[in-house]
Amino acid sequence: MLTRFSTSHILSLLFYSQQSYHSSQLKLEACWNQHFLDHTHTLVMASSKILYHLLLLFFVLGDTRLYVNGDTKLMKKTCRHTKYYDLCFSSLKSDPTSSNADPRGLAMIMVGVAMANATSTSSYLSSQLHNPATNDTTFKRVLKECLDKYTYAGESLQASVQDLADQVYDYAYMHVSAAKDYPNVCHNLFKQNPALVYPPELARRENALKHICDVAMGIIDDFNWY
Amino acid sequence: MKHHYCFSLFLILVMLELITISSVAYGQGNVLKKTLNSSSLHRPKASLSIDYYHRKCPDAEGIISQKVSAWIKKDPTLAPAIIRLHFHDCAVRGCDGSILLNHKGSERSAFESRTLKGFQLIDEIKSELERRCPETVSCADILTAAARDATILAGGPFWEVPFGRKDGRTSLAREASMVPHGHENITTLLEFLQGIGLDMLDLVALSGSHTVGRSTCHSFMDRLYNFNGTGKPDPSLNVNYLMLLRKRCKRESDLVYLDAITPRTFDTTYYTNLMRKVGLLSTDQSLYSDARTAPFVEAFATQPFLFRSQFAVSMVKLGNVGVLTGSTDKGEIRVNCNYVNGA
Repeated sequence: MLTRFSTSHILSLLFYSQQSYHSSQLKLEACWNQHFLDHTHTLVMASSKILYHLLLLFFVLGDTRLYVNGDTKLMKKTCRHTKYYDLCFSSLKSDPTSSNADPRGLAMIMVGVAMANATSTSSYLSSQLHNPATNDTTFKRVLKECLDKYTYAGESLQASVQDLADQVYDYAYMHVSAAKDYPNVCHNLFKQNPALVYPPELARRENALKHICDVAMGIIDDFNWY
Repeated sequence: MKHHYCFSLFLILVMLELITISSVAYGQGNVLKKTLNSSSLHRPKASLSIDYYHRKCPDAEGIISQKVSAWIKKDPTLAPAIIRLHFHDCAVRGCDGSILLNHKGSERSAFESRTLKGFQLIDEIKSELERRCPETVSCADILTAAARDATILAGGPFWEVPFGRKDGRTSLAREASMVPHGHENITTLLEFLQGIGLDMLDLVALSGSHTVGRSTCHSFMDRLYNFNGTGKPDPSLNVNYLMLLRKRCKRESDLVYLDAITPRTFDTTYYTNLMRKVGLLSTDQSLYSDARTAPFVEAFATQPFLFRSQFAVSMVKLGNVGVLTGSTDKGEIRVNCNYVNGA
């Protein structure tokens, strides 16, 4: 219920309620003045004021904290079953839709992160290919091969998202597994050509993609599709 | 005097016209030949030709194409089915329509043929062609053209189909077991193909048709639980894929995609799968584990254009296997593809 209202809504609600509170407070004061001693009246007034402000504070701050606590519970549980907990949790948390997501939604977010890596790596390779500074023909041939593989990886991950949407989890897993394998072909080409240097940037991206895929596979594996 | 002059002039004009017409026709024929040679298509057998039906039944290819398209739009699984049906026809007694015969003890009635489909489509094409051009277009030719059209609809390459095949009269159930079933080793497969005039390159290229279509679990169940009597699964099968297949194969008759990654796209994923131990049939995976065929698998995996053009070449070669032509080969034009004429 808390999630339905934004902080500003609550603040304005409290502001207007404060107005009515003060008017009712005045009425209460008048009533107390009529029937009770001064010091108890002050005590009650003070404590009710403190209570009021505490409630205000609670709603304002507690709003976001309750928000986070309730919805990271699932993320934490999900990530605990993956190979790289920190990578999993940070990736999921940074996605705005993750707090509302069910396990399947979390899997889709993770596959989306993998897709973003594969796509950006394809762009990186494409720019390297068209860089006028690259004139070694063997290097260019290998880069082209790598570009194809990372493109296939992206396509496989796209298929995985569709599989998840269709709840076909075994094929979703297979598609992520394929995406994890494709970068190996690229790396092997560099190994086969010792004269070529495997670009550190590409190595970093390869590593990242494989780790993200591992996490996604860990999440999907949990769906008990076998 | 004037009359003679006019007449001779007329004769010269007629001669010129005839020369022009014949030279144009000859020129076109030459161009056709040149295209054939330059696209390195296998030269059709002496009696098969691309224009076989051009005068006898000019609408033949169009009608076949239109029917195949209509049926596949309604049921896309028919595309790989027709490609497979054509292969089964050519693998036994050549491409003579023997697989289509529907009598007791025919190839079609054999256990190995139980999952073949597409017969109704061929029947419908045949009825239409019998209406249009009675007793002209053979069932073998229909099936060959249909396989080409189905390939295109599945996303595959185009090739010109040579025509002129006659239909056979013999079809025996025991011969259906000759067709590769998925458990053979590469040596056996090569021997079989060499027996029908195809080579290693054709083997690897034609196997690429497994980039689309499905198989029954029966064809590979042994890989999942008890491979070669070891009591264990096939070690050349990816572990995750093994889990998927075990779950999906509850019965021998359950169907599974031949290409797990892009099941309905005609591409080279079939070959990249093999390199990751994600081939479905034992024969598929063996193409990569065998040192003779592995280089071809790698070549196709990395060069989609090469695969497409070789696939077309190999399909033409397949369509030329053991064809019956003319009266000497005892072939006929079946009026109904299910029965020998006069039966």
